Amino acid sequence: MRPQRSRPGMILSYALLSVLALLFLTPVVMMLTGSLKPDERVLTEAGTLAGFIPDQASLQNYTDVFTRTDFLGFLINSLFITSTIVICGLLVNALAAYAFARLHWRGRDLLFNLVLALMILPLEAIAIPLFYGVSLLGLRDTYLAQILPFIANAFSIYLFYSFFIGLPRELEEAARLDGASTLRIFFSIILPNSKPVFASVAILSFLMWWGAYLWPLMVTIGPEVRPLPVAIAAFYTLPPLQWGDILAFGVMMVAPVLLVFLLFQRWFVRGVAASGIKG
Amino acid sequence: MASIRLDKVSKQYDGHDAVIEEMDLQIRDGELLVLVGPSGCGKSTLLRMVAGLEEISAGEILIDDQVVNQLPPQKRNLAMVFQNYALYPHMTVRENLAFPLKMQRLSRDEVNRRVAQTAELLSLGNLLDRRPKQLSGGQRQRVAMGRAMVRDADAFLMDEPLSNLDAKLRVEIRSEIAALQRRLGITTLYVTHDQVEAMTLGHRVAVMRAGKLQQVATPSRLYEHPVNVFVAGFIGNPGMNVLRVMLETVDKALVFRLGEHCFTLPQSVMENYPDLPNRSGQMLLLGIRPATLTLVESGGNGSLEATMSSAEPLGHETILHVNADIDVVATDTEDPGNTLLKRPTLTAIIPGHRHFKPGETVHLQIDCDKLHCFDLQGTALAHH
Ligand SMILES: Nc1ncnc2c1ncn2[C@@H]1O[C@H](COP(=O)(O)OP(=O)(O)OP(=O)(O)O)[C@@H](O)[C@H]1O
Ligand SMILES: [Mg+2]
Repeated sequence: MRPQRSRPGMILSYALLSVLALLFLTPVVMMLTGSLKPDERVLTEAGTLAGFIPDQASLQNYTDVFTRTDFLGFLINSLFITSTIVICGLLVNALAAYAFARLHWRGRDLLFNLVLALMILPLEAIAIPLFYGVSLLGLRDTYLAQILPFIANAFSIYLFYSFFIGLPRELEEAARLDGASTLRIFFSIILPNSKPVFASVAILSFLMWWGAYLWPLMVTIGPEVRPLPVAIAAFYTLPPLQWGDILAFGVMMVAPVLLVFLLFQRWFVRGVAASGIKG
Repeated sequence: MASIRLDKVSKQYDGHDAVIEEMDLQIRDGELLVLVGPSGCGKSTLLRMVAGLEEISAGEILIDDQVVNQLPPQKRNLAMVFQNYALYPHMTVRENLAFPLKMQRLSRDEVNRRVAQTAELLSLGNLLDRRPKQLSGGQRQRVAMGRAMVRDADAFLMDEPLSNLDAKLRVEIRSEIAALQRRLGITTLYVTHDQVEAMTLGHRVAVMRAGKLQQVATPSRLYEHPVNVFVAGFIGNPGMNVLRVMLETVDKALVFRLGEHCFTLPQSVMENYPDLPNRSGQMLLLGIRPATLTLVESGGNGSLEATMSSAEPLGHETILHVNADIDVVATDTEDPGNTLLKRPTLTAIIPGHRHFKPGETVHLQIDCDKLHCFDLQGTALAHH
């Protein structure tokens, strides 16, 4: 329990937090209200208080998005790519982390340190060689090119690792004596006791790949396998420029993220706390 | 059922001193052998090596005369009860009990039958649908026992299975375990640091110290004939007092001096330790069980004057700690003969519930017939 703060201190921290919350919320609210307005009023009212008031709200912009672009197609692309990365990633990274945390094999520590080192490597740094590799394999403009390179993820492995290492060893030892194989132990004992970390890794990687822009821009050519972030950029350049439509597109792109986060928020907070990366 | 044998088993972690040194030990078929020793002496390590959870640095472990060094835990057919029970938190009691059976791919009917049977045996019937979190410590302990019993393991390994329970429950479950083991007749290796548990449970007790086996014997033999001062001080509640005295010959009788008084070694002790006469003029360690000290009214011959340090009235008896001008040695060191307690304290147990003032002068009578003799290294003298 943290000690009770003094009253002025409380007021100050509430004030600060409110300002921060306002700063974060403003663009989101403006996007939402803007998306409900007739196009010509979006920009003119953007800097004013009226920008927040959606009088005469209509869904015209939303229907525009669907008629002017293949929004549904892009949404399905994004959902497919992101969820495949997330689901395969959960399996692959959790298994890898388990091998690092609990199994004994030659070269384990060296390899684990390498994986940790990979965490600080940004995608931008490897984008060109990766692109080259994908082109060589003839995978440009495919789902596979957008999925395969990102299933294994150093940060996910690290999150899983730090959770697994904290699980009581005796559980696994008891299961081993009970006759369970390593894989069986992983699926029957470890997995059911690691829901929080699975939830946080799922959310983090969902957020990360849902918003991915650079890489899909590089490997997609036509609209067939194009995900939402690339699509919204293309939509922006599609004449005539209509801000209301773009904002509506944005709202529909952000909605799944908010939904996922709200659904799993409870797990997420617990998992992040349990894996020891707070703040 | 099976017998387990350890043949010169050693364990050494990389870059550390040996944790277990050349341990020889046999657990007979159907026997409950208790492994006891102070914290950190390597009991758990040894148990885990038998289970196959820890690698063996040297030596051999045999189950039914088969070397199992290379056998993984799941192939040794041993069941283990962990100190923290290690129940699977996400499973109900029923699922916990069924898990080892499912691993053996038994039919669903067979699994249900055996789970029911075990639940009945341990009176877990009404807890079957609960999760471990919803159980009390004693109930968890029973489930852990159940999970070990539910499959036909060749032997049980238990690592301090009672240490997380309160004192009353510990006594209760202790006798339950003893009864169960007797009924099932299953070979059991039981680890504890509690010598009372060891003495009450074990058919035989193995005392360990710093990775070395000290003595394996029945509880009564351990109590009556400890092989060294460590065992003497460790076994018994409280343990034996060990004093350093000078042996002298006065009028053809062997005597030793404590404080102002001269004590003559009685005939019975002389017969027990035939080597004693050769040790005249040498220092010797004498062991005195607290229960063989009695309180007497005033200092006559054969009594020792002491000052009361503290008294612990337990109801039917009182444990006294007294200070006297004598050489009391520490029993848990490598060189007890030269390790004197700074504050020489003797422990005595007297019947009844009595109170004393600290600093009060008391007189203790020593029952010389029940003395134990050790050399300065702490090893018991050759014994008849
Ligand atoms: N992985 C390890 N690396 C190095 N030393 C270890 C390791 N595991 C245990 N030890 C050491 O081995 C010794 C024996 O440990 P062990 O757990 O077997 O003791 P114990 O008799 O079971 O003690 P307790 O009664 O406290 O459970 C201890 O000194 C401990 O520090
Ligand atoms: Mg231990």
